[in-house]
Amino acid sequence: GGADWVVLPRASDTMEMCSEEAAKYVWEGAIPLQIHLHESEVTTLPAPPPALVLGSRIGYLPLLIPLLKPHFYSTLPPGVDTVWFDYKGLPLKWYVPTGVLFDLLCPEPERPWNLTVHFRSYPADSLTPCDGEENVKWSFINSLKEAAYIINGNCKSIMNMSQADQFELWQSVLKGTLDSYCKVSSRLKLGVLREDCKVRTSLQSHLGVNESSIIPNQTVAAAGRIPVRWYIRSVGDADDLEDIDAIDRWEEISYINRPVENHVEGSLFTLRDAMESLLPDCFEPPSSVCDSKLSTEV
Amino acid sequence: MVTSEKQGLEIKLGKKYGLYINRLETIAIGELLDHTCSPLPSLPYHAREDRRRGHGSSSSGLPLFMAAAAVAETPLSARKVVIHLRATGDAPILKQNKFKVAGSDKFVKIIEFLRGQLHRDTLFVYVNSAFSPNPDELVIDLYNNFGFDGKLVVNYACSMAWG
Repeated sequence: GGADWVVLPRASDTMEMCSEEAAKYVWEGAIPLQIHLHESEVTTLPAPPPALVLGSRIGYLPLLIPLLKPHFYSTLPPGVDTVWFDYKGLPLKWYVPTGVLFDLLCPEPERPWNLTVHFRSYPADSLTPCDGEENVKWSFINSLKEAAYIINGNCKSIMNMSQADQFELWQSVLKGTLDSYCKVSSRLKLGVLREDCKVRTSLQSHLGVNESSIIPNQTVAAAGRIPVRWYIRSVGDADDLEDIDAIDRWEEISYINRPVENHVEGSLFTLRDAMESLLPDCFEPPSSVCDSKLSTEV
Repeated sequence: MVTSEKQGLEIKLGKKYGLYINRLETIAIGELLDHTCSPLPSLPYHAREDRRRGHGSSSSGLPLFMAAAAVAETPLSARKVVIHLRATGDAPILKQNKFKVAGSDKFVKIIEFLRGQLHRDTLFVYVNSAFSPNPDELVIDLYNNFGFDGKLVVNYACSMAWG
């Protein structure tokens, strides 16, 4: 597929999935959001109730604006809308998929995820401007180009995409329709996997296990570079994810664009393999402590 | 929870763009390249090769969805990258079109530098005449992924050049 970021399932969802299942799982995933209007923008009494919406995992927060505006509009102070979101004071980057933001920032057991929406005072010093859907689409297409460049050494397939295909591709992201996304993306020559192949997204619980013996005849990745975008947050020594502090600066999250090399044609290539090559320190030494944590908390 | 080792990678985005531009200009003047300059170490880069730290307790047993810190400490990210600026369309050509930036800097630094040089708020900045990287992307990542001949080619235009 063409997606160049990885959205991992939450802790309780560890399971073995093939690429199609995994894609479906992520595409159909949605985050229950409870969105509050920032107190400085409340001009009515009582304050408007929070909006409850489902944010698609693969979607972007600005795409929710058409739903949120009518909900809050009657209470806004006069002025020009510049919509942005924050979580506990951290302005949320609009070009990061909602599912990634959620995985990075929302602690257990906070459900729904409580975000704050602002219609005024855009923090231009810390967020790239976003005027709405067009900016998000532009950002998405650029990510796609980068992914294509990593796979093919150029991004002609994206640049030469027909208007109709571009429209359909973006509509599929807006609506979360995986089928139509696959239909268009299959024409974009972004295949890092062979037609018949499947990728398992689960992480094995033991380092020593011969993975191909667990799921035979399933994953046959083509050799090559797989574009991946990593968002890495260090949680230090915290044993319990409920104990970790909220992030108040984006600088606490490392943002890394580094493709993963798959050297062996036809091999079983898992997300764990990809992470091991990027973050070897997380996987070593092969002690049971490390392993059990990985298997239970991923 | 940021360890001190990672501070080197951090860029304080925000109110201090002016300050960065000043620093960058200093770099541009101080380290202007000519063609006799030796090329950067060859690619490709492999994460495992520059692992040098031991296994501190903070890097083992981390939940992976919030994964770990090791990579942020790679010494290679501190490496300097040669940026080659190329004007596109009617954008003015800069007198100095090559300079070095720290790999740990983000792409936004190059964007802000160009905005300052060209005195324009709206600017379209591309890599390899192809795409506009995210402002957050590390220069070293862009170089490793898209650089060639020891440099990263950055195109700039005053109107959209590649849609």
